[in-house]
Amino acid sequence: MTRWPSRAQSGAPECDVCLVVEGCYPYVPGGVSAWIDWLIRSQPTTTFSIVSLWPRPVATPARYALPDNVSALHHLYLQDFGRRPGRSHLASGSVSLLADTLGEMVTQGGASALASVARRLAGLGPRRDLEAIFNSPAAWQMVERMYARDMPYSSFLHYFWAWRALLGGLFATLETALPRARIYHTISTGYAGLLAARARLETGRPMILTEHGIYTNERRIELLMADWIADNVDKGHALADPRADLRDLWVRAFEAYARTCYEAADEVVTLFEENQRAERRLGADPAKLRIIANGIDVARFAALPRASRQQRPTIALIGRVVPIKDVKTFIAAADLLRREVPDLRALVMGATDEDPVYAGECRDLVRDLGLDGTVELTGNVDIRQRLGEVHVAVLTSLSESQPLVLLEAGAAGVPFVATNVGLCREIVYGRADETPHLGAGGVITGLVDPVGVAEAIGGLLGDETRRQAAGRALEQRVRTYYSSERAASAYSDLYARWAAAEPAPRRFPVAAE
Amino acid sequence: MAGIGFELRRLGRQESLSSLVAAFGHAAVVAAGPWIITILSLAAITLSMEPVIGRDVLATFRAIVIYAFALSLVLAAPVTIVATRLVADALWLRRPEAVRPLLFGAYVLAIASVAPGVLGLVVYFELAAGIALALASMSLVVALIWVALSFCGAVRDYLGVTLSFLIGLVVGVVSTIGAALAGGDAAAMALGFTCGLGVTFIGLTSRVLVTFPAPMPSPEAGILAILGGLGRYRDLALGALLGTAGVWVDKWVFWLSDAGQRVSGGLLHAPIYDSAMFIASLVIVPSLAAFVVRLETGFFERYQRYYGTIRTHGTLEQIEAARVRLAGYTLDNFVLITVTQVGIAAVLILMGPLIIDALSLQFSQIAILRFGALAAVFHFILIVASSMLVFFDQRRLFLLLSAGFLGLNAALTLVTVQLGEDYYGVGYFLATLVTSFLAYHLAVRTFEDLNYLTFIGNNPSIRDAALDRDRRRRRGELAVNTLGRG
Repeated sequence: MTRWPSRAQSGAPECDVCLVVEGCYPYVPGGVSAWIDWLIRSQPTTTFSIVSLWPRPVATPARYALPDNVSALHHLYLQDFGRRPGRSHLASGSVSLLADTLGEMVTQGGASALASVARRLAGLGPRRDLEAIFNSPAAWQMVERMYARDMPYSSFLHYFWAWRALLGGLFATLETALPRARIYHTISTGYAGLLAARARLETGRPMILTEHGIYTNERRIELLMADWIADNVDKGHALADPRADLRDLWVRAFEAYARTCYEAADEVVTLFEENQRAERRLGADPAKLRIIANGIDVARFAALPRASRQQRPTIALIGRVVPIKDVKTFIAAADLLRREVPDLRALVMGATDEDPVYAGECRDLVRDLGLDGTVELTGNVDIRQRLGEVHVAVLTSLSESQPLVLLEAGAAGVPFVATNVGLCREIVYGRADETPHLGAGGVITGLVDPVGVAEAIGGLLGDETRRQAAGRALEQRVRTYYSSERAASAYSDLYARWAAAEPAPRRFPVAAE
Repeated sequence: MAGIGFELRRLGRQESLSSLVAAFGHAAVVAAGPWIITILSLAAITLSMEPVIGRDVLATFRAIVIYAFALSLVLAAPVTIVATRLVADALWLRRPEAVRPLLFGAYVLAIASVAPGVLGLVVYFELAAGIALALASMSLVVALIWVALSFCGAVRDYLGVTLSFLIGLVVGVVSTIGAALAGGDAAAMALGFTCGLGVTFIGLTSRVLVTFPAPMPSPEAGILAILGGLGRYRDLALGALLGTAGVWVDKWVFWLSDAGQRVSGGLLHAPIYDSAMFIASLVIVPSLAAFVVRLETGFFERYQRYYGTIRTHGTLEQIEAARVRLAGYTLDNFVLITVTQVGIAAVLILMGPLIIDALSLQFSQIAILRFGALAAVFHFILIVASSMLVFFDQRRLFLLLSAGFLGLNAALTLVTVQLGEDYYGVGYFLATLVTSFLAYHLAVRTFEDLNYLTFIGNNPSIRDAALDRDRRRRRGELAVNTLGRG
């Protein structure tokens, strides 16, 4: 495997900041990618390199043109690991030690666990080929041992594939060469966080984590919705059954990776206070935590036309058609609302190709409820072109961090009905210490509550004065607290501070090349 | 939302394991028997006709039969084994309609493989037209029989096989004798025998067609499928070619050596070696039959249970228990039958002089017969162990083993021929001895490593992905780390 000469960190850095991103920029449009694009453009004098992590090579073209201050885009494919099956010569003693260290890493995690894995791997000798080991009988001995230790009562077939995915990703992360940079900045925990943690331990350069949503929470939701996982452990009625099933394995591993990243990071940035609770629970040192809210370019939205009373009453959910956005609740709310507002138009503005099965279910629901003339899935659109038609914007998401659409709609004076997730409440209602208090910019509802959502929208649509007042309040709040200038200067301060920092001692063995 | 979630859904569904198919290994065992059938049919004609037509015509006739069988067996082996594997795959995928095209394609390609060999023999030995015609027709019909036999084996139609051979052999023996009595020469007798083989071929083919009634849309599809299979399973195809050649190579060495004699028709043979060895190799028949019966009963039950335990989400402990049961049963029975085989060989060794006397062979053949009987024990081990390798998809090992056997048998026989008559048969014996130990070791290791092989080593979704990555890596396409502007 080719290694970058930078492994030993000799020579000049390739760039100022190495951004480590997972499953988004520059290939998937949407919240985090858009934010990354904004971040890079907001720091024109800083040079960036990007490591983009994917399960396997991406087929789609890039959705974002790389700004001029990006010097390199690297890819790392996590599930693309392992050579042709065959023997590898590892003593069984080192196999079991390695298995135990890896077991520690994927169940507990932590910076020292990661360093132990690296030391253990380095201890296998300078000529070890981890990719060959991964498909050798030694790997089988490892999986046997880790299974026996972790979850000996569950489906081995499932465990095996989970093990391969987890360890393949871990190994790929540890084996890849590292771009040289003054600062490593990861935009999530998970494998991106793991790579950043490795960079921190290996180079001693500062590492920053910016977390939008809480990665481990998102993975947990995904796992709860994954119907393919057979619940093979019959837990019966016993309350304290120590046997773990596959979901526990995955959740534990993602938490272990997150813990590793939190421990290694020099600073952990989130968008709002709520996130910090989850971070503290997973061991993030409170002294490292800080908040930088997202901002948007208010001017791009302020001049947009406003929907008038004469136009057909229109509500819009702006977001991808995926389960976590809970589009079905929006459709159900539109169905309820139609009884009061017969000529209602309900738009779902966002890509439908990410989860075609779910999009199909949504279309079926629209048809079954007879909403064909009311609900429309527009696909991906430029919302600046469409905000002028919208009277009330809606988010029914089960999880959000600080949704950009909320700020964008706000900047365009469109009031918002949103679920009580992430930063939505704070943006719509204002912080408790907001002075002067600007008033409600819309309504916050519960999760999966079509009745509540319909009532909230109905209240705004039915009272034009209130609707316009809410739009004005939201616009004012976004202008004051969530402008991109504020966020940009916070990040340039952050980068300036860490770029000047002395490197910390390395905690990783750097393999003799 | 950042993060991949690692395509959790996709990974969960990825349950494909090596699609090893029971029917396939079966056919491998069934196909290991054909050369025994060669000897049985020859023995019948030799015993009945020798007093009538004399040694010389009979020797020519026998040479034609031996050449036809050996040639077709060796040259059709790649097509046969690949067709068998494809049939097994098709049945595993529940696509019975694919079987007829495969049968047709295998027939065409088996003929295409054997025909150049016939032509080569005709030119090399400058055969007369009659003998050339007899050799050609018999070689091609027998080639078709090997193919049809493997299809019947894949569906375990033993009754169909037995009946077809019984009827075909009776017809063949009768028409051969008829041709001889009518004053025909060796070529005429061979054509008569071919008629009987033709009956066997028709019988086997009709069994396959009855079992798979779906009509065949286009004939080319089958040919293309087999050609594709020869590429995909090239280790298997080459292994079968070398393995069957290995069974015959000691005879070829003898024919071409000073011990070889020319029959009146022009073909070479080595009667002193051939006849003793053919008798000795009959010893394998009962053991092989016993092993096939074990496969049919206990082995398959445990084989299915092993893969079933994995598929139905068993724990590793349960999977391991199923593996131990499978390995234990197979190896125990293997050893047990081998011990029986040793007993039979001992009887043959002790009764050597009696047998030589009864068949009016030369006294010097006693030693060859004894070495042959000993070799048969090890050859039995070799056949069973190789079929186990094929069963568990150890195609590369199967190829290496086959190549090793061919090389050893050829080299050692060459040496012993030089050493003189006292050492005749020692080469073949030593080749089977060495290769069988290796084969047994590999089979045992395969059973020990079965979990690893099933999940990683032979798992197509891992192996194929790795091979694909290797290819991309060689072409420099693998973008583990791509530098540059997207």
